[in-house]
Amino acid sequence: MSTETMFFVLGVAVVTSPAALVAVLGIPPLLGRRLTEQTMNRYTYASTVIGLLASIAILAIMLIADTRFVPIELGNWVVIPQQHFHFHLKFVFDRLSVPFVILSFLLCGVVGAFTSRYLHREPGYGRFYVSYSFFTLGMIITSLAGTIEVLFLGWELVGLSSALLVAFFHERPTPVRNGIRVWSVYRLADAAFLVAAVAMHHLTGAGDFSSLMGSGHWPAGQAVLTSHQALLVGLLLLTAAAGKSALVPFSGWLPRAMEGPTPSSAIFYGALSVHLGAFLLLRISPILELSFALSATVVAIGLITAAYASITARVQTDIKCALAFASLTQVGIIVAEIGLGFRYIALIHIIGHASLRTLQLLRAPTLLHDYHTLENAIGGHLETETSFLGRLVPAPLRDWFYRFALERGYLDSLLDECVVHPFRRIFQWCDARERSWTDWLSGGQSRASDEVKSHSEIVEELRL
Amino acid sequence: MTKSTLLRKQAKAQVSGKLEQLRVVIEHASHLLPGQGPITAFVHHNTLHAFEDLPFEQAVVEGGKTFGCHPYLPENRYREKLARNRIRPEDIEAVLIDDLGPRADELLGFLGTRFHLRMGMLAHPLQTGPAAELRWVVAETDALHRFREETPRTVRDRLVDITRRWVMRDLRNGSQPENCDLRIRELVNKLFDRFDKPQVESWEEATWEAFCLHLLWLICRDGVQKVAVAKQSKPPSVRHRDWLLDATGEDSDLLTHDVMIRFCAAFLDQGFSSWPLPRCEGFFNTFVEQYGQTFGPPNRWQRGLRRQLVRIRNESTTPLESIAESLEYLGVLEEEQEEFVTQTLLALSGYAGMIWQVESNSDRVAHPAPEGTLIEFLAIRLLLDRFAIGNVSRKSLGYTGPLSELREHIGKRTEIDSEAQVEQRAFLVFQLSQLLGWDSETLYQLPAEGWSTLVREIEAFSGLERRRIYHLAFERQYRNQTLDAVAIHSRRVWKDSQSKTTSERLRPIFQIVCCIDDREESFRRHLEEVDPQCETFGAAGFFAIAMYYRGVAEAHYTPLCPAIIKPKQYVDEDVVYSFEKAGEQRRRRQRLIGTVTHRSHLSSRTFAGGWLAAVFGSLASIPLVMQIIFPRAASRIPGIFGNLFLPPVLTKLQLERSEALPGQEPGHIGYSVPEMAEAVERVLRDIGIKNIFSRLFIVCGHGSSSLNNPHESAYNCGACAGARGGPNARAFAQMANDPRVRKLVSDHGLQIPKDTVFVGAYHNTCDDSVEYFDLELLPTTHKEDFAKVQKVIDVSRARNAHERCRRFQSAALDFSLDEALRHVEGRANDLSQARPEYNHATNALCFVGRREWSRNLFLDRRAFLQSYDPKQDDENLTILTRVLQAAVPVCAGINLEYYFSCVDSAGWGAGNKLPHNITSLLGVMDGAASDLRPGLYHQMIEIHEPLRLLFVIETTPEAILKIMEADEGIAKLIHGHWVQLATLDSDSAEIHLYQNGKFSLYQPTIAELPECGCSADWYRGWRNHLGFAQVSPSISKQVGKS
Amino acid sequence: MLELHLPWLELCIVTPLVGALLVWRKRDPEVAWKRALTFTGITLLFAFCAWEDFGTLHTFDAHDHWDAVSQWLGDDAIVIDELSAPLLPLAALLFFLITLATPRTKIRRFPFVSTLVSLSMLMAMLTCRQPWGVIGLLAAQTLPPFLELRARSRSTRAFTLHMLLFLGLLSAGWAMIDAEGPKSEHSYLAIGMLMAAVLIRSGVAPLHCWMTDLFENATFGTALLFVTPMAGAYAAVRLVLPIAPDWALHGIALFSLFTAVYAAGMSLIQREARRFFCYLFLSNSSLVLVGLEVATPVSLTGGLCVWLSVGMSLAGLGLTMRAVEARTGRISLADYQGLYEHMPSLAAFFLLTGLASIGFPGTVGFVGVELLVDGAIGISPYVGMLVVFAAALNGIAILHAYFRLFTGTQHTTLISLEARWPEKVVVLLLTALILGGGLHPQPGVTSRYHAATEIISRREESSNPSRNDHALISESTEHLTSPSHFLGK
Repeated sequence: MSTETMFFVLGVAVVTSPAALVAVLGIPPLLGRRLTEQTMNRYTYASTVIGLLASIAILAIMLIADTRFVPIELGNWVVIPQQHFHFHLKFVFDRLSVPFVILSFLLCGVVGAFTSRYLHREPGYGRFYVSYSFFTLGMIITSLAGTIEVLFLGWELVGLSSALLVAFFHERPTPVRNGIRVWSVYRLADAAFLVAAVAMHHLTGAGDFSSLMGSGHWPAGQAVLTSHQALLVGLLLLTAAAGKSALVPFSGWLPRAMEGPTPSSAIFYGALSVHLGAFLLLRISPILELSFALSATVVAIGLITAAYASITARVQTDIKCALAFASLTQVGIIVAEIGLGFRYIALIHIIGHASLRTLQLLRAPTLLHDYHTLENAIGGHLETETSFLGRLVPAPLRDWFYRFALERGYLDSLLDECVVHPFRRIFQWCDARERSWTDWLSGGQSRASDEVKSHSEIVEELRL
Repeated sequence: MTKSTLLRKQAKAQVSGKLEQLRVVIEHASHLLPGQGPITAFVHHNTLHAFEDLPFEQAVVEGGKTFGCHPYLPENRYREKLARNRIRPEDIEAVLIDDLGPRADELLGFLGTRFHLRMGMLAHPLQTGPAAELRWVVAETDALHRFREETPRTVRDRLVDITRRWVMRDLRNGSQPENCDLRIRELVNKLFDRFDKPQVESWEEATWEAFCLHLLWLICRDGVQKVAVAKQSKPPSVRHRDWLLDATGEDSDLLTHDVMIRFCAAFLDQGFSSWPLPRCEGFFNTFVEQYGQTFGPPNRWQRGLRRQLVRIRNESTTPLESIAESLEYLGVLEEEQEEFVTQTLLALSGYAGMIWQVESNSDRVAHPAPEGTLIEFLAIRLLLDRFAIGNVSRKSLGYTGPLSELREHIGKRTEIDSEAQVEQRAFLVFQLSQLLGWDSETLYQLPAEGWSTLVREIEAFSGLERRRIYHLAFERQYRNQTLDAVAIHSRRVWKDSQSKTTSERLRPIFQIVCCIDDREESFRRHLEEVDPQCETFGAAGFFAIAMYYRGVAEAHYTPLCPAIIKPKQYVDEDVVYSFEKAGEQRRRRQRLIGTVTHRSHLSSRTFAGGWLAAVFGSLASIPLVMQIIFPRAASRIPGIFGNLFLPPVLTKLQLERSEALPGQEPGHIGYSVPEMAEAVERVLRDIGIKNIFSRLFIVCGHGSSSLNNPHESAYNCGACAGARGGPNARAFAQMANDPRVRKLVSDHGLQIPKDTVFVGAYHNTCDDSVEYFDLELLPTTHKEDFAKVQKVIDVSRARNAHERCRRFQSAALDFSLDEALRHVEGRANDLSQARPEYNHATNALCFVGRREWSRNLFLDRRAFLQSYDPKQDDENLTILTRVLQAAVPVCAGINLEYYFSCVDSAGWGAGNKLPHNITSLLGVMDGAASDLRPGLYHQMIEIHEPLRLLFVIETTPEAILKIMEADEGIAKLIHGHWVQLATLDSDSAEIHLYQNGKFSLYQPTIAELPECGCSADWYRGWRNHLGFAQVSPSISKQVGKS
Repeated sequence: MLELHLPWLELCIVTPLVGALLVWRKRDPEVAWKRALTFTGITLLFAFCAWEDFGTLHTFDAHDHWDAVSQWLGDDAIVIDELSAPLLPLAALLFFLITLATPRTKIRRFPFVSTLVSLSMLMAMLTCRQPWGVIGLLAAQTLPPFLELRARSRSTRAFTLHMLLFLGLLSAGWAMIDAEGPKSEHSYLAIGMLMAAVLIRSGVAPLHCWMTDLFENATFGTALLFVTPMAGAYAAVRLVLPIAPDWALHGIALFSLFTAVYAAGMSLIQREARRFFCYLFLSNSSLVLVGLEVATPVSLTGGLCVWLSVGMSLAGLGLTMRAVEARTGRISLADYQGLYEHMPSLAAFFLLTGLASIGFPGTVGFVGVELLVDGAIGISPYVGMLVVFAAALNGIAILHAYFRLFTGTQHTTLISLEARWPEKVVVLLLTALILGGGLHPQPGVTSRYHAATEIISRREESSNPSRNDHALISESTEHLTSPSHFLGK
């Protein structure tokens, strides 16, 4: 077998193993069949191991054959030749995607194994694994995407599965409320992404990264846009990345997303999903180089996020939110690194941070146990002291900052007051106008829906 | 003094009187708050402690209404038990007869007796639901085409025949108008429209069935319409938020709680966050300072809050004044005040309760709250409520008037939906007619009063009542089973003892005293099975040693005794003198490692430190993968390293003090010899040891250690207030080995032979390991004895693990002993394991008496076992009284907490464990932000059966009555039937059951108990609850060879 | 013009009429339902055959075999072409599924006769290319909902006024066009009237209130049947697109774009499920219209693709909601209902159809929306952004509705509310179509692209041959920052 065919077979295996998992876990429930926990575990295990081994094999062959760039062409998914419209299915193994894919498989595998026991006997077991398989597929597609459309495809899958997993415990309203919040931010960020993708398609005539980045392979690519175009597209993509990675000003959803079960929190906010924005920026890093303004914006947003998150993390009183903001601090730094052009450092940083944070999040329920052990080792209450920077700030300002941090930098409030509230007001006003209009037209009460009760009727027998 | 100053003074006095009254109201309401303290020292207690003055059945309903929770399991859960014969029909019958009393046999026309009707309603599930769903069922399913499955064939045929006859006779054609009035014709014609009328003679059976059911349904609906509409008993709410929620679907508490949760967590924080809340004096002032600053959050609903806070600061308004102001602002009437305050506090009951706990039990936490914090909490909460309510009413109701008139503005809510009621009632009657065979003609002829009676009778036996009856029947089933088993077993034991009264008792090979904990039941049973020559006892696991204890590696003193006792003595664990240097070294190294670990953990959450940690973080993937894929192996690694680097260190307890008074200072630490003797004697007397001591006497405390378990301390010894009982066992053994103590004890008539040696031990109930203390002090003469005992214990703990494994769904049923042991060890160290063990789940029974009565009886780990020998007790029942004073409240507390958490896991309990998020090192929230969740989580109680604890006490009814007279606490629980009680007379092996305020002789219903060679024979291959069995070692086979 | 092998089209039109005769005066609703189901099923089969048959011909349009009608009514009376070929089975499928999933609770009230007649009229309209024929059939189609509203004794005024306005404008406009004869430039008034008519029928804001009114007051099934086939869009393609000048098309596109965003916003704040559905549908159908009227090959292809995908997925969504309504009564979105536990498969289907309608990857709508956005950006980045924005809002609205309906609380009932077999059939059928079309989009896209090119070529035939699309685009995008790049294709 030639190296090319080996690459092709392995590459297809990497992509199809999570896709097959989606199919085997997703289709039976649609047909009304319930899988047992063991079956689901076995499938998950098999898919992850195959994917992981295949990607490691690709890495090995790449090292042996000393290639830095392995494209896997699966042909056109959709094509309108006359209009030069084509949806090109192309996956790329290079220095950026291979580590990321291996990381994804590794962490997803670990989390899958963790969950198999963690969610044992939970009614939503199957639901979790379906979302989980979508998440894995989305991660793999995103990491390997060779064209921006394919990247978008994976990106959307990750977004949906995240929102559904945040709302995993859906018999309570809070997770659901937070799930819809996450989804809303994701949708708006995705909208920016879609516009950017289409614009890029128009600008360069193709969504293919390799043609976009010119001759060189990551990270040595040279983009073919003008700096003006780069700024436009770059800002759109930065918005998309900011939404996904919870950078300022979208950070509000991150702590709220801690509603899901611990393992899903771990892969989303500790490890993979939260780094996806950074990954996107890495992927398009040649564009960043073209425009100084763009790189400066990226650095600024990264640093602001890091500063914001590190202040906020200090006042958190619960373990999950503290870890969420801790994650965000590092993501901010990573983004700043990317903006400064340290691509390898950023990549190493992502990998290290993802592993560490996953471990910490999975240990979160053991916090009291660990604290006890540590207290015993140290022989006293665990001391906390004001940090070096904290001591520099004058006291009244420190109080103000405390509340600023306690209220999570007002980001949520700002979003509510400046976006959601006016939006609702406008449309509610329109709704009221429509009501009077139809009332007038039909000469009386025109809406039967006004009588619909907001709560479903509760039967006395079932309540107490 | 002028008149005006007098008036002013009067007014002031009036105001302060009002405020005082308000304070009393709040304090009164605070009793309803959850009584659970910090999660690090979990103490089980009755969830409905505040309602203990009421009888149980009344209290659960009242409490349920107050807290919005279920008093019993949902009806379908009982029905499942009925289907699996966990509730037997005869139990239901007996309970129902008992419950109805003379009203049971009242005849209700064609319905038969009331008893008959109610039995019918209990026998099969009755569906009900919102009107729309009922309409859907009627139209969509074959409810009108097929009789219900449960309907007996005979009933079905009879009903069809009657209808058929009636139709053919009277209704088919219009020739006999005198026999039937117009109404029925209307109904039947409607039906004939849908059925093929011309062919009526040749209709098939199925068509007739459908026709019969259609007619029945129409008649039911028709009849029910004649009955007056019933008032719905929706509990009136006084909170504005509830009114608004009902009217608009918008919840103003979302706004308030968002701020309150964050602020309370920061205020209560016991040292988690690295930047603590800048506190001023108290909750109220801190909030005023924090939120009174400029440039606050831009939330619209908080507009004006700052101005209020500044005003409060300038006028130095007290919290109580602020509350009074808020109440006035919201237009709360004086007579509603108590209700309003209670409901407001309960809206965020977790935090309110924790504040109350931290305020009133300030010695149990590192950062207590000052007195009056709960009042301050309420003041802030009401202040925020004002803004939130104002905002919501403005936004979704368009209401801008004063909030005091808001409720009038919203006006009358939820009128009764009479149409829905008709559907629901009709559907009930419709189902019952099928189940009990009421034919449509009879129903049709029923006059309006008849229908009223019918509906009244059915509704009098509502879902709640049915669940109560089911529950009582369920309890009766277990109670009778237990008492039967005890009766049969005790009669046998009694006969045996009668026949060989003369023979002297042999000296046992060894003796062991364990905690009364239900988890030790199986451990003791297995010990006795492995070595029938041993003797086991049960005593409260702190072994009468109430102390503050600090281990050699521990930072603080922990109280090791039941929560109701406040210890006087302090005990330290020290490194033995010759190892002091090594110990110091080890300590320093530990401190270093600890500090480094802590620092790196903290700094991994910061800016720069995090960067370093993250860059090298890929190393973390190694322990990550290890811990998740191979938890058991991973848990050993630190142990291996620990052994490599650190020499073994011997420690001893600093148990004896030199000074007169106990205290924390050097010299005051420890016990005096008489105190030691008192403790030793007390335990030995309690367990009724009768001067027969074996050469080796093991004192075994217990605890539990597990990962991924914020509630870890709930799994520890209940008698040590959520701590591990090892040190108590160790201290007890050390005391009992002291010759001076033995001398004092023997002076009181309790001879401990010279060759008896006490050894302290610690049983970890999660991984079933047993660890021994101070073995270096074991005399050489006893080494061999100890080796033997150790072997017995090792086999027993493996068997114990094996028995526990049958309950774990993820453990195979065909495990060998070794596999079982490995499995439980893996569980304890598994980060992903949500159920390290099942703790007290399934507890249902408490035995107080000699072990003979329960030995060789398979109790399925459901029984607390307290040893007590009535023969050793005095006239005044001193021993029994003090034994029960500890056992009744502790065991009842555990049992009732399990009961409530199980009956309504989301309401009384902590809900699902998986989204739990540890907050402020005090408790858990659901997810990112929620109220604190007290109670037990779902994974802990999923195999529990909610049953009130059945005490079986070896004594006479008179003795118990005497104790109840003397001790109010015990009497309250027994009188109110919070626990069930039976006595076992040791002289006659007769059982008396306490019911409705009196004892009555219990007659066993069966004559034989199943027998098995060993426990494994009885439980193997079975996951669910098991009945009682006699374990007869005579037909024993070896286990574990499979 | 080539001929089909059998008179499929006439069969499609006649079959439901025969069915209507047979259902007429049938008193037993069960039997009526079964017959209606049979006949819609047969129509679906014929429509499908027509499509397949047409596919084998490789031509732009075709007649029936033994075409009897064209002799009297002219050549364009009964024709199948690239545009209508898949619309026929889609329309028949909608009728079939809605009839199939009619809950027994509604059977007694559901007017099967008028449904069958509507189906026949719809089939006739889709096969008709004669302008007056289309207009007449459009007019006739408004009758069944009107009659139903009256039968339910609701106010018909909102509906009637809008429909009269629509028909009046349409016929007046077309009469003028007719009078003006076949010239390239028609008068502004005529075009304007046609434009307004099409917009009203498609429910452009602020003249969309008849649609909400219909959903409020008619049965859900009737409302679905009246709006989901998107007769307005069909009228736009058949009547307006071939003759209208660019400004008119762009006007329609702009109005529709506004409606798409407006309706998406409105769907987010609705407190009741039907109204939510109505706005969601309105937003999506307006997006279709945007794609159609931007009139570049890519956007037209996108619009036609989205037409099919939205038709399927929103019909599925509507059916799910109807199934839920049958169980619990009208549903409020102001509070959480928590129904997931009782109907997991319906919940999953709700999510699937909802996501398909917004073009989620892996569903049938994905490529369509991509094409649509691509085409829209081609005309102006702002248009593209607004399209994307509307889609994003719709996405939020769908998950919002999903969460409100199926989660957030625990619905307690002792009654099993699981899906019945007809509902299961609907779910599986549509799921297969949605996923199948999503995973293998190429054939659909190719066929829609052909239709698009055909439409454009017709348009070019009828308009001034000197004008072409490229010029059109360049005119409208002159104000852009870098127009040259948007011309690249």
